[in-house]
Amino acid sequence: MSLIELRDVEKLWGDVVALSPTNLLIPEGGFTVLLGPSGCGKTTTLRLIAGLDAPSAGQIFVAGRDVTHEPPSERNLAMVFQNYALFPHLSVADNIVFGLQVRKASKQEQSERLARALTLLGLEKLRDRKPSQLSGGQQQRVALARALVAEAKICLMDEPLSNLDAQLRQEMRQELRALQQKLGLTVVYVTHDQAEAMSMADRVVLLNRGRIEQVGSPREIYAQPATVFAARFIGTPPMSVLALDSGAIKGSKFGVHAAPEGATHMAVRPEQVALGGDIPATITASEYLGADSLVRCQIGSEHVAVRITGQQFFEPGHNVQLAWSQETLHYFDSDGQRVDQVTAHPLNGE
Amino acid sequence: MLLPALVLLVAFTHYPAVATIIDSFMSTPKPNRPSVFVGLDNYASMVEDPIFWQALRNNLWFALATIPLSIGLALSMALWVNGRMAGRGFLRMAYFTPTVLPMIAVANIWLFFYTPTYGLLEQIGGLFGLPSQNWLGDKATALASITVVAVWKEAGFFMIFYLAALQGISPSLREAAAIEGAGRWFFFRRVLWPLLMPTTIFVSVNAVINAFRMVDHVVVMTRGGPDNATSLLLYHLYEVGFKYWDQGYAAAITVVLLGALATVALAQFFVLDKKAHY
Ligand SMILES: Nc1ncnc2c1ncn2[C@@H]1O[C@H](COP(=O)(O)OP(=O)(O)OP(=O)(O)O)[C@@H](O)[C@H]1O
Ligand SMILES: [Mg+2]
Repeated sequence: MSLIELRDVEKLWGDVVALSPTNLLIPEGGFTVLLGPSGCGKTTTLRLIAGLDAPSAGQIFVAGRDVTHEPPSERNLAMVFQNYALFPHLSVADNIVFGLQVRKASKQEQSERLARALTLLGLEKLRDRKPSQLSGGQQQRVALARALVAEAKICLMDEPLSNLDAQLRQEMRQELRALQQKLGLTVVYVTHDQAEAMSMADRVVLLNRGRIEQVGSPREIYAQPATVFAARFIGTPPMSVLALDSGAIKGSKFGVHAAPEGATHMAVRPEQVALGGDIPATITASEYLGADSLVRCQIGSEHVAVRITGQQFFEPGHNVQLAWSQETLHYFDSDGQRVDQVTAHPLNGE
Repeated sequence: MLLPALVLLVAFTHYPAVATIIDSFMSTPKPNRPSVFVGLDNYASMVEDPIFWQALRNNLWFALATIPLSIGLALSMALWVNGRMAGRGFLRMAYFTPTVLPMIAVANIWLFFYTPTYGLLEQIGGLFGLPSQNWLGDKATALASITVVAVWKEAGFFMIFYLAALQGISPSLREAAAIEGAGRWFFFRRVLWPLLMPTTIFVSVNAVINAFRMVDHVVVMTRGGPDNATSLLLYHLYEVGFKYWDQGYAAAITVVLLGALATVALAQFFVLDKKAHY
């Protein structure tokens, strides 16, 4: 069952289209990540769901109820802000029970729920500190505790980990995910970091310029990018996208005979290109990454990245032969949409 | 290296203050009679001076009205302006005006509002058939009338401090509170008011000092009249010192005024400071 639904929701800021008419279903109890580059409309989408901004058109449903014109407080959801938005003059404990005080919960209920939240997030020792006396990670946990104490079923998070260092971010990702599963929360999580999205999400909603490019599990999006944008965005490093010109890689004589009709681009993951084949290429750059190296090669006027083991080393300018197998290639048409290979009628390779 | 700073400090602040205190114990020099030590005589004549007591009473009423009214008005205006995006620039300028205008000019504008027969208030009142009223000439309304002018001027000034402080408060705090379901009043009481406390302290210390320091509008609008109904301490001081040239007595009033001001300001600072969050 879907808990949140956007139906033809659009958001304009004057002439700027922050979100083109969008339909989106967010299932209950899942970890949904809104992913996309800066300015693609992730925050906009989240704020529309929260009710902090009103859509220019369309309807928003939460648990089957039309909440398009309801204020945030009527939507029964919690939110963790990117900058945490902790009240600087209130202690950790007072920050956490703020919402309970608004709702005039009894003193006993307040202290019970507070104690539970503090234990859950390991904040017992910090309960009397002010936010300015906390580290980034601790502040983040307080913000999370404040969101959880409301016991709302839906928790919205806008890049909550972006201010933390790499180590802490890694830890918090796991903690967040574990917490979400333990409490059965429906989380809508915003990030521009595809690695974060891939490691945390049940479902990824990939956004680009106010439009949904693809919705799917991390595996689906990784294995079957629906658009050129998805191909270029997902993966570390992402796929190489090569333009095709009348059945060959642009600027070269190397034919891609298996390309389905209408394909103008092909894409391949760096880890699925090998050395030692029949595709002539020239090395333009090489990047040492420790366990392996990333080598950039030129075929005709197009570039392709190749992942090779760390011991190997090539000078730029070196000529190599590359190989890939047909089934690892992805094809896209002139609109950037995926064109599937027709596997029923295998075409002749050479 | 400290010496130049010390010299300046002494020349411009300490020396006049000390000289005033000394003068307050001396008689006023006359062409044929040099100043002599008279002890507390000047203070004694102050206690016996009914106009001094009237000025003090006026000033207390003036302070009691201007301080809370101007701060309250400043805060409400700042909250109102801060909440509106469109035309903010224009609105802010509109409220800025009292600050930029010298008090003398302000007083002149309001003089026109208050003038009997031709004044703005008269004309508006006339439309509704209200009886004519000489706002500044009537003992019953004169003090209130100059208080209104001071409140108007002060509120515009203080609003800028509140506005600056409000602009410094992250809008996401309001949004976080909105998601928790906090209404305007709850948010104001629990979040805005405590966060504005340092500004409130600063503004209220200024309000107290200004309440005893403002004199320009009295000079322009009423000259302390009618029958000393609008004479404030500083205006009385000015009359004693520069109209009657009684320097010794003027010095004594100055000492009392400064002493009272310093006490109030310090007390305020320390008491309120404890409640402030920084
Ligand atoms: N209040 C606003 N007024 C005008 N334009 C806005 C406003 N908020 C967002 N926009 C525009 O809407 C578009 C989407 O913005 P949004 O904040 O949703 O991006 P985002 O995906 O969250 O990006 P980031 O990763 O940088 O936070 C942007 O082009 C932005 O400039
Ligand atoms: Mg954003």
